[in-house]
Amino acid sequence: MRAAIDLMQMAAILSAVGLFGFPLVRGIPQVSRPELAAWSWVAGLLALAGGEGTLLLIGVRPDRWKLWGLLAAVAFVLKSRPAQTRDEAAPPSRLGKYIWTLALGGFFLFAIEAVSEPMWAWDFVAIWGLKGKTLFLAGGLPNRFFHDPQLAFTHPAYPLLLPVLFAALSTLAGGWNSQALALLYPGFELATLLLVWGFLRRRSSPAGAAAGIVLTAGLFPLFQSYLVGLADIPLALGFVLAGTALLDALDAGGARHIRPVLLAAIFCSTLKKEGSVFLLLLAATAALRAIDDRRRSSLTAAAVLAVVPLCHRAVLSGLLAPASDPDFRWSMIAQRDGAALARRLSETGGYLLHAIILPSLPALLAAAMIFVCTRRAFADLLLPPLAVLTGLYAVAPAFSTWDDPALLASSSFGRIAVALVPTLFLALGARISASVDRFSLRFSRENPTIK
Amino acid sequence: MRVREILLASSLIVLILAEARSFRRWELKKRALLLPRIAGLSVEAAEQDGSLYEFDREFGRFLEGVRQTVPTGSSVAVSLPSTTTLYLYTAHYALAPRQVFQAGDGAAADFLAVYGQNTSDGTGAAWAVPGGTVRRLR
Repeated sequence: MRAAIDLMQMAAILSAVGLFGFPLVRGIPQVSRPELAAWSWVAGLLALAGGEGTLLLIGVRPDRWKLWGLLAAVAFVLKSRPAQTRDEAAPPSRLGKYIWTLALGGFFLFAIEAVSEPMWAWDFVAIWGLKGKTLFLAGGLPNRFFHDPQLAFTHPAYPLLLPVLFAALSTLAGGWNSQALALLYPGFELATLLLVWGFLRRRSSPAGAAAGIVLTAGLFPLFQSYLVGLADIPLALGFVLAGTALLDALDAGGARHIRPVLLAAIFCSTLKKEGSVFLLLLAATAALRAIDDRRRSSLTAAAVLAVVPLCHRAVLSGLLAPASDPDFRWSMIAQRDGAALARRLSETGGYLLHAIILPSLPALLAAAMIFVCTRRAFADLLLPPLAVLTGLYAVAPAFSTWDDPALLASSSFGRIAVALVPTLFLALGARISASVDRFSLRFSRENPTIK
Repeated sequence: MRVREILLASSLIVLILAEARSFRRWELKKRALLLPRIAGLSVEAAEQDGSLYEFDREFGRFLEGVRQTVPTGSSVAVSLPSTTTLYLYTAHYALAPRQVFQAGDGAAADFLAVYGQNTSDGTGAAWAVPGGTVRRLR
């Protein structure tokens, strides 16, 4: 069975990449083992992409031995001193086992969808896969990808982490195999689940972690075959990484909490432009917190979150000078008058109301009700950036170059907005934790014999 | 239990049910059937048989023929149906890293690949591939 052998080989490569990432993140203080596993994997992927990108930039054709050697060198040079991991010493409760069984059920359903065939989603074929395949087979991305108007559909200004990762993993596997590469996506989902579970269990309570992981594993509009090969599933992981890293950095302080903020910022900004916008919104949140608490750690976190995406944009523009995004050209947008803009906003709003909001009304009302029924929690800090970014996604089509803004909204809003939802579920889990703890306390007081 | 607790529990249940409702069983069924069928095929053959060329399977076979005929370092102009951009996207993806032009846009390519017509003249400068022809231009 060719596919089974290819998938097992890719699983071994992805696991080894995670092992090489471990020395880079073992110094993150107090994280639980599930979180550490997710961070190790992401750090390994970043190191791998960094190695491949560096070789391509200096004109050296990457091969598997050079890449493994670079990974080992990065793991050795950038290794951090081990920190004590805080892990639940008690074995998982019966409820915890049921919850994980449920979550793994959702995970396996997605895994079957993801690896059942070579990746085929249209944005993979036209953008991410095309660039990755060219990088791997040609040993670089020809200049035409950044300047040729005929290739505008490949979005010249998009960040390159995902194509570089595809190319690097193909180098390690010894060939371009988009079915084996699809295994990355269940990996991204598993890392997201481990982060949500580990973080909420550590910072909140098992009840909040259970709610967070079940809701995240059941997020089928995100974890579906149509999004395999695109940047939205890894970006959802990036949002959770950035959110949890910032919450730890703000609440615990200390220089060692800045490393995960830096890693998350590199991951988000090099994946997709939306990742950079989210980082800037988080930076603003951290800066406001710094004004309030006057702690250096808050200010440092804000600086890292702001500087990394700006530097990435400057480096990308400086090195490659890509043509502007065909969907958003300021010269064209500036020509529109107020009435045209109002009409476009109304068309976009009408589409979102009928195609997104009304069909999702039960879920939206239920989520709103959970917020009403629970009390404030520490992860509420993530809610304003999530709300602002959702608002930006909603109005963006009206400012685009598309003649029909509703058409752009129909092709993008649902897909990019759903990547924010695991972070929303994280905040929701923290609120449920805060409230369930309060209910339990009251219940114990009212029934003093029950513990 | 107070009203607030009941509301919280029922909201969570509604949210989980709404998620479950969004699961597309037919998609899973399709993929669960596809996996064993293409598991033994080469990646190229699996692409031919999978969702990538669902819009036109013959075009997939044509592109595979062009890929095998045109050397990796060459450029190729492809004559494409203009009905959908899927032809353009798949041509670029399947033939990467070759430089791909749309036939008729004035660019000078090393080869011309025509889909849907057999224009092979038997001179050695043109080859028949499944669903069309590849002709050397330079």
